[in-house]
Amino acid sequence: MGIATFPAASGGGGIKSVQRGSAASAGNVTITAVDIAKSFVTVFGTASSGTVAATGAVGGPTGTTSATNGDLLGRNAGYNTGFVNEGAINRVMGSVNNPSSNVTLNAVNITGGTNNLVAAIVQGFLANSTTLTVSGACRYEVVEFA
Amino acid sequence: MKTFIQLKDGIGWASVNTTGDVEGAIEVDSGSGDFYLKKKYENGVWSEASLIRFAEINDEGEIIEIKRTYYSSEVTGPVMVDGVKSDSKWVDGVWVNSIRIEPVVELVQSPVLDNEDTNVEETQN
Repeated sequence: MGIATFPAASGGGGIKSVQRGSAASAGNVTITAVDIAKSFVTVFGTASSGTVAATGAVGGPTGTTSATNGDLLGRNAGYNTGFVNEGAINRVMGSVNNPSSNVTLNAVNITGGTNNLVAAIVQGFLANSTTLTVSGACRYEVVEFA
Repeated sequence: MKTFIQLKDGIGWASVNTTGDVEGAIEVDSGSGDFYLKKKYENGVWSEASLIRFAEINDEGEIIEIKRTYYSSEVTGPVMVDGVKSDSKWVDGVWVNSIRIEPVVELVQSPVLDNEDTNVEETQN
């Protein structure tokens, strides 16, 4: 059940030219003119798509916070008695007496998602003899045969 | 082999290594093409290009995705600017931040003392 006949090898020479390069995103790359009937394109995508999930923990500081004990100085508004304007007078309005308190932040785990960052599928073709159209960031090679 | 850089929006976008020539492209040192991708070209000088952050929004103007590009022609949504948050909305061509209601902190003061320690000289006619 083998192949009885093989197509006859057509005439032609070897590789006439090779053009290589890079594209940063999708679009048309202008190249030196080639015969598209005797050329092929290889495209290697360099873009990525998807998301990367993170797993880990966020730690917080543990310690104390305190306030200085002492008087809270305020200033009452001046008022007019009808005879004498007293003006503003400094007064002790209250006091600050905050005991130290502990600050503790528990570590929080970060979970979820899946690691599914993958290389994006990028393709390319010769739109005409001088235009290589690519669908995303890639490296490419245009080989033209004689 | 020669190396040419093709520009898009004034920024290096594609490089071509070829024995021929590439019309409308800028020739650089052979094999150095990758260096010039995403670089700004102006008056014969290459420099770092700015990354443009823009948002994809839904019909309500809410941000559904934030994208980045070096090429202005690839910007397909409103450009992100300082102050825009994930819950900001794009309304009538401007970013509108949501209003957050902050908790009210009430200060409690000691009652004001009467006129002690004051030296008021009353005037009598």
